[in-house]
Amino acid sequence: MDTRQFEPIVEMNSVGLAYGDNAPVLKDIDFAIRRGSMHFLTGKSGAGKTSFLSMLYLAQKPTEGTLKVFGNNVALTDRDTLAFLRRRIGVVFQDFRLLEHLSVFDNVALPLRLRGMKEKDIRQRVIELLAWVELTDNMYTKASEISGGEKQRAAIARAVINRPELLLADEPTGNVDSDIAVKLMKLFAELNRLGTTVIIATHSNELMERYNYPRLQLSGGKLSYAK
Amino acid sequence: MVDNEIHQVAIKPQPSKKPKADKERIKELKKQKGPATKTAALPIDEGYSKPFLRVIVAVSVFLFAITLAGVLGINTMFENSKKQVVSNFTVQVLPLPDYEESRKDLLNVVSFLERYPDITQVLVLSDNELHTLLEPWLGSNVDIELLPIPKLLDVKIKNAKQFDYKELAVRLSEISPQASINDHNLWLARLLRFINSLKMLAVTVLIMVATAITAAIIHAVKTGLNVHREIINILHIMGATDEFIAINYMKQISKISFFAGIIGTILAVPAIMIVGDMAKDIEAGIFNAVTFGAENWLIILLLPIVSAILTAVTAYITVVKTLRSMV
Repeated sequence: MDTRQFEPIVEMNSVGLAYGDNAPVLKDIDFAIRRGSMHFLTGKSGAGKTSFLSMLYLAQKPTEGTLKVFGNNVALTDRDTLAFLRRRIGVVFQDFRLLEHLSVFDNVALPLRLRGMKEKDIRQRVIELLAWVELTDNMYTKASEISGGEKQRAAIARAVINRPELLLADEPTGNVDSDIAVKLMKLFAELNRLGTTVIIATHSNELMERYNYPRLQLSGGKLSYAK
Repeated sequence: MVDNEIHQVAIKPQPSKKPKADKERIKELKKQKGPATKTAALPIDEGYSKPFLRVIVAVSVFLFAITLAGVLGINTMFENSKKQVVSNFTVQVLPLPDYEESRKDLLNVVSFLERYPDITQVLVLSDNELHTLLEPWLGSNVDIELLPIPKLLDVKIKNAKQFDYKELAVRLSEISPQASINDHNLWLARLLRFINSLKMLAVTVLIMVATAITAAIIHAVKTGLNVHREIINILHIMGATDEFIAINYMKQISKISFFAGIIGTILAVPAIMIVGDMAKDIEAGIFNAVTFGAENWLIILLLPIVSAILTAVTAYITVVKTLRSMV
């Protein structure tokens, strides 16, 4: 029996985050995210959703408390191990953060290249996924030359190409029309069904009402379940 | 139920539901080859770092090649001259008051030397040759036979390294107190000191050029990394190790350095040839071997590879160190 499925994928004990000498953005967060779960993350603008996610994708270490990701205490983990842990996490950024000088294909292929996969296999997987997000016509176009909606889809393809264990999406449906939004939510749900833990940060009440997943709310720097 | 509806959809396109034209197109795309060149994940800054590196490396390799050619040329010249000097020495026989006695004494010395082990040839410089040697000092109208000028013998030996000059000097003085040896050792030691100083100076220049090129690479790398800080952040978030980023950068920068090195070397070759020709023109006496052999040319032509390796190592170390200080 694989006991890993019962372990939390993310564990926070009294976690706080502050930038410099400013007041903490996040404070006293005691929380665990179960492997294989799917959550919405809500909160007003400036509530700290992006900061919270940045700790989860290991771009920042908490300034207080203990954060464990995949069972590793982030504060005690060396740089190379952190890099390998990050490969198990897919991130969809609100501002896409594609590598603008690369083509759509190369952007989506990058996580696979980081893993050292063969170019032939990369090509198969990338084209399959690009076809699904309807970007094959633009696959050799530079990321700087495609529209906002196309960037959003390319960013999502890049985040999921690796079949991540943890998928973090910051407003993933913010720049796409409703048909694509539905399609993307189906993709996230399918990944979740296959075992990926998903956290979607969103403002959209419509999205949260349509898809009945548990909601985490950030307010006053604290995290709680929304009623 | 929305949840149920979601869970029924597969991540991959369902073959049965996919239109045939789409399936064919995906199949065709998979078979096609991608663009020939893969763009680097972390590009080198086109506006500043790339042209800066090209110019610095080309100029440095040019200077390095010229200086190195100087060192190699001096070395070859010295080795060739030394070979000749140590396989020859001069015996000087001072004249006696009586002409006939002087002649006998000279013959004794020559006869002794010809029989001496490891001596292969003994040549007595003729009055004409002596006259030619002394002409710059005494003029052309002097009758050399009227002057008490010593006779000079050019002696060739084999096994120069093992040859015992001291023993020969002792035995020669027994044959003729008028005879003495000049084995060029003192002169050679002074020449060696001078040439070594020249070589040290040239090596210092080489070290300074190598230091300058290293500093320039470090500067270009650091500037490039600062320009692409955002790209580096994204690569890190996606799981790139510092080594991955460093290797990615190193490959590009060493390629630039290699091609800039070729340009520097191409510019240096004619300059070296011109200086070499000028050196040949001043050949005189003992310096009759100013040559720049094939092995020296090979060393010069390897400089682009050396510059690429130096750049690669410097870039790798700089990128890793800089990244570690960034996050």
